[in-house]
Amino acid sequence: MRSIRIVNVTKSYDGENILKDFNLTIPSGQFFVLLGPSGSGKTTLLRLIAGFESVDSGKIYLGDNDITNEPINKRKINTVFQNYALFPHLDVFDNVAYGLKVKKVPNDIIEQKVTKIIEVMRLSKHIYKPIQQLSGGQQQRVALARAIVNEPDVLLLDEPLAALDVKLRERMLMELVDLQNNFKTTFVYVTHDQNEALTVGHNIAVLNEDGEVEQFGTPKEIYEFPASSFAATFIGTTNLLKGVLEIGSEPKIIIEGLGSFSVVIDGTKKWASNGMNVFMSLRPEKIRITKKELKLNENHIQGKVASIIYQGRFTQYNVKLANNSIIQVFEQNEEHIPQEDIKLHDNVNLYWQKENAVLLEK
Amino acid sequence: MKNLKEKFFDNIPFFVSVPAILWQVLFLCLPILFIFYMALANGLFAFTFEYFRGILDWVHLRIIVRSLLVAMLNASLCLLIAYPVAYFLALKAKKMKNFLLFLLTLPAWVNFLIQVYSWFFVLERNGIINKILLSTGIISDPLHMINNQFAISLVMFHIYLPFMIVPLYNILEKFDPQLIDASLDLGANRIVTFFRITFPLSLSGVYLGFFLVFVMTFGEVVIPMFLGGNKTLFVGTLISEYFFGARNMHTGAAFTLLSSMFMGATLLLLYILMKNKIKTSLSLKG
Repeated sequence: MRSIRIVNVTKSYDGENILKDFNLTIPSGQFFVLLGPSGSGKTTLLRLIAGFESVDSGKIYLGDNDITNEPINKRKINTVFQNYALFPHLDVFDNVAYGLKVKKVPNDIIEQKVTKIIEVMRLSKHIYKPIQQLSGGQQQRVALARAIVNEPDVLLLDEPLAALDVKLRERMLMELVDLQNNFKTTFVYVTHDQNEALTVGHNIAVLNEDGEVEQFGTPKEIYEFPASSFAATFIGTTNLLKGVLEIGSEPKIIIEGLGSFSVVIDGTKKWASNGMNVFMSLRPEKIRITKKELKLNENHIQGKVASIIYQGRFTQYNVKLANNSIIQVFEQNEEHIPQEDIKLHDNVNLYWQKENAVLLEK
Repeated sequence: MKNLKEKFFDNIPFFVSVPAILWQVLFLCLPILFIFYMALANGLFAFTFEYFRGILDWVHLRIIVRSLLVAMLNASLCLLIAYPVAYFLALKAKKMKNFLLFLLTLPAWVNFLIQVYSWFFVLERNGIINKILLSTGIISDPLHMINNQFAISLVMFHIYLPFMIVPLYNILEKFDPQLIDASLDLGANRIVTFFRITFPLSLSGVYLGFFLVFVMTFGEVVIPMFLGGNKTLFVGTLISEYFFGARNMHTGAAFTLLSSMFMGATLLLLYILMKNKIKTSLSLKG
């Protein structure tokens, strides 16, 4: 078993609680993402799992083994550091071989394993080059190879792509996914970048600023059904509308100055009660924008286009509503020449299905 | 064609460096040439090895070897003690760092001769140490701590320790402590991490500090004179004896060159040995 279980862990620095009674189970063999803003304790969590820091209280399990007090160098866990932390006085081969060498693995086996992983990482051409001669992406791959060659049960990645440019980052993300597929090692990937999280994660744990798990789920679950306004705004873009819940024959949210809109209350919203203050999260791409008035059995609102931002794949419209709030709408640019040309200051109609808005308690 | 003014401005870096070059020529190059001349010249244009022949004997050789050994001992001792201090200062002492560095340089504010003299009063027969030890009854007779090799080595160690700490501190301060994390993470323990990562990456500081202390100790004059009771001769004391005591400049210059050659050879040998040792301990085959 290569799962990680964190049980009631508390950790503080200088009297300030970073993590308090923190619980999390990271499933075995998954690409798992810890997503959160800076200061959410995700790096602390990673350092606790790796063993660089010790917990104030609580337990950490690797599979069924309690590793809370196991020293770093005995844990079958390896880390890929944000700045790679490659050894500058060693060449690529010796960097990758380091872990095996200090574990006194016979030389011929080292040679074999290192050569193989360097080949997998497409570094064969650079095998005896000093680290300084490699590009950022190559250094990144050396850091990965150096960790993976030890065949760890868990691989920790601390914002490993932060230093790379966008194109390279996208490619490395795909390589990471392939790598995880091949090795079936548990990957724990720390990032504050929601795009990276959605791209690679089998499961994501969203942490908030107080170091608590805000939501745990697959990328799709988290994106489509955020559990809180924090999760809804942190992952992707959303419109957050505040209103009062009215549960009659059909549940509605009444928003001051805008009117009432149908919402869905399913089994997960047991907290919902008549008259309570709630939020509605409405993703910009779920809204249809048009100048025409359509006879649709959907939620409908009118507004005026306040600004238009062309983004290539889609166009973003910021629409000013009757209560002076702004709502964002993304419209896919399906056609070269759109049938309907929406211009600045045009009056527009917005429509959305009630199933596509998410009711949130806080 | 550039006019004169442009030429002048193009060459400003050269003009600025002129004083330094002059200084070097006047006070370093010329004296060295003078030493060579004194050691090898017989009359204005005749060369001779006569002065060298006069000092190529076991007496002089023994003095050189003794100085080399004392310098080696002192440099090694300084390295051994300075490394943990520099490591602590550079990587562990966070807020106290500047204050501790200040403390370290504090003795250097006192004149060198006064420092050496102070040691005399600490170590002598009626000195502080003997008084304390006698009054507490730990010893019944005063310890003989002066006019011997012990006093010389102790004071050399004290005076030259900062010259080892500073280069080490400089290099260790640039050391990325995350490399230690990385090494531990890959399964090395703290000792292996030190010898495979931290130490090799601080080598330039080790070389610099070691050679600095070595060279300065090798030519030391004052400490053996004041605290060694002038019983044993060292390279520095003998050179000053030839030049100022016996007024035998030719032999003095020859001996200076000979001892410098020995020192250079020793340093070169040490450097090659250290370099190879570290290479083999790092490579996969080692």
